[in-house]
Amino acid sequence: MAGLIIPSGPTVFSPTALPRLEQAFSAGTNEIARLVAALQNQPSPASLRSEPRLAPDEQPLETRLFDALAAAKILTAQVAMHLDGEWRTKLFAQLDSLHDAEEWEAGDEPIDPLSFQTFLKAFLAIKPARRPGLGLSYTGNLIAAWTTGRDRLTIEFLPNDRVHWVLAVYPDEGEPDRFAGQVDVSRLVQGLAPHNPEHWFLDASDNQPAR
Amino acid sequence: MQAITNLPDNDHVMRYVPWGRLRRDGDDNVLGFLGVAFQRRANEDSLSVNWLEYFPGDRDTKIRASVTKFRETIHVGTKSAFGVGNVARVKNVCRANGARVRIVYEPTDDNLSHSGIRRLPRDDLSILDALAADAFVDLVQNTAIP
Amino acid sequence: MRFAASLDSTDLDKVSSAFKSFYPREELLKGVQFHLNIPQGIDATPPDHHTISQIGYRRSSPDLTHILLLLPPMLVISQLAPYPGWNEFFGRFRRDWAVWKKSVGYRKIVRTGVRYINRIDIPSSDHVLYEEQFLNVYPHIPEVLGPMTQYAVQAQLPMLDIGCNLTLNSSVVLSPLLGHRSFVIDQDIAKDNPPQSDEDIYNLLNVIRIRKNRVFEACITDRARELFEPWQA
Repeated sequence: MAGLIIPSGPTVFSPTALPRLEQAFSAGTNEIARLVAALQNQPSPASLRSEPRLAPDEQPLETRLFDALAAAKILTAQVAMHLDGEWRTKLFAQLDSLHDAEEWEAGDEPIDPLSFQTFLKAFLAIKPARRPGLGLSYTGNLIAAWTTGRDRLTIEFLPNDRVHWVLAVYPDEGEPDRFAGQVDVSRLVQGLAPHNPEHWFLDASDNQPAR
Repeated sequence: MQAITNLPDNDHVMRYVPWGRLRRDGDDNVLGFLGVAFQRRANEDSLSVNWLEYFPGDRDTKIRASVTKFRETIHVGTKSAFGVGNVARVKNVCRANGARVRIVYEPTDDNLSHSGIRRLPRDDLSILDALAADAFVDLVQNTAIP
Repeated sequence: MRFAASLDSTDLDKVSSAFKSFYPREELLKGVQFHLNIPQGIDATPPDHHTISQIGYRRSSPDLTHILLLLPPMLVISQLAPYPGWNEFFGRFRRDWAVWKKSVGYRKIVRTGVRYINRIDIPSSDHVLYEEQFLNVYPHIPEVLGPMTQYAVQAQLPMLDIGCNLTLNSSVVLSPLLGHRSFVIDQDIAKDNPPQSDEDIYNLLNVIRIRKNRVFEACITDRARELFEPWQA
């Protein structure tokens, strides 16, 4: 059995990973290479998209918002088989709400697809019973917020699998305790584990105190 | 040149918070503010707020006047809200989380109440969350102000 | 569906409008291909070049799972996950095919095919994953070379009994899930010079669907099967 090594970071398969050396090869060899390249798995026609003719900041706002939402929804489709249908519908409603042109603040960026990818990975790893409230930073990073009484957990999803999280737990008296972390999304569950994540992620009826 | 004036500790400031930066539950019910509502943009030296006591009248009158001024100078979304915080409380919350801020009067041509929170770290989520939860404790819905 | 004669821009505009109620969102597709042939001895011979410009439409449903591509020589009806099942997807095809024909009339079909792209997500906590435990389609590499980090394989097979050709691709892809490794089984089953009547087309597509399921089942092991409930596609 040959087996596949599981790399620690993302790998990218590139049909053109090798340097272009046509000038070093005979015509016959180049023809063989061309025939092999023609066998490469072509993208599905449904993935064809129009290339924007304008720079993002020159496009109408509605176009920018729609394109960003479209990218997020297509990313969701890639993991739809792992998502509850009702949750997916409500997620789309939340994303649509965040990208309402009437509520949009000038200078903000719509949702960054790389941030949304990080969010999906985290969500599918955590599988919270309670849906979070969603927000958006001005740079287009998606934010998920869980609130239980006065206690707050907020996670900002950055591109490239990074997350920033902060949680605040309010004792009966005195100042709140705050904890924060910046981790790779693969270690988010581990990072939250000492802070009783069920306090935020379970349904209210099943809720556990923070400590 | 306008002398830099720190706002008095007993006074209040108001921050505009668009819909996308309101803290909500999974059903989009508004609960408060997200920390990023108080995040400076990269090209900003200070966090913009209105000085509430610039306006005359009682508290409600000041709030209405400040909201009106926001509506005159920026796009205010229907579902947005405004956070109100006491100056001393804002400074204390920041200090408790490791930042010494100044809240200074920075009037502009179109907004004479404009002020700024200076020296606020831009990417410190703990401070931003603390501002959202413990400093700007009053939330005024845009729809509540005719 | 690929046609012998391409639609002109007027017909493309017309057929795109005909689908507006089913696929409200419209995007313009434009592609330019530039071929530059520079023979040996360039100083002596001027270069040839061809520029091909292609225009079409991509229409989609509000949730972007129903996609329609309208290109001069082609009609493509696509469904992203979550899949509603074959009956619903086939029903959409029948509806869209009827709309297309009503809009532009009969065009000779030169190729009818269906492409299925399945991704299999395998939880993996081990450093090395043995693909042959989950798949029956993979490259055979001498063990002495050690484990791979990436692969892609393609095979083209005739399906003589149904007059179709199968192009089968299998590869490792970046997994969208933490702690998983993902593989794609990509089947394209198509018939050149297919039947032209609606009933015969529908029958062909149903036959292709049944054959696709058999191919997919043949490409995976029982261990992969345990990971998911197969779609009733």
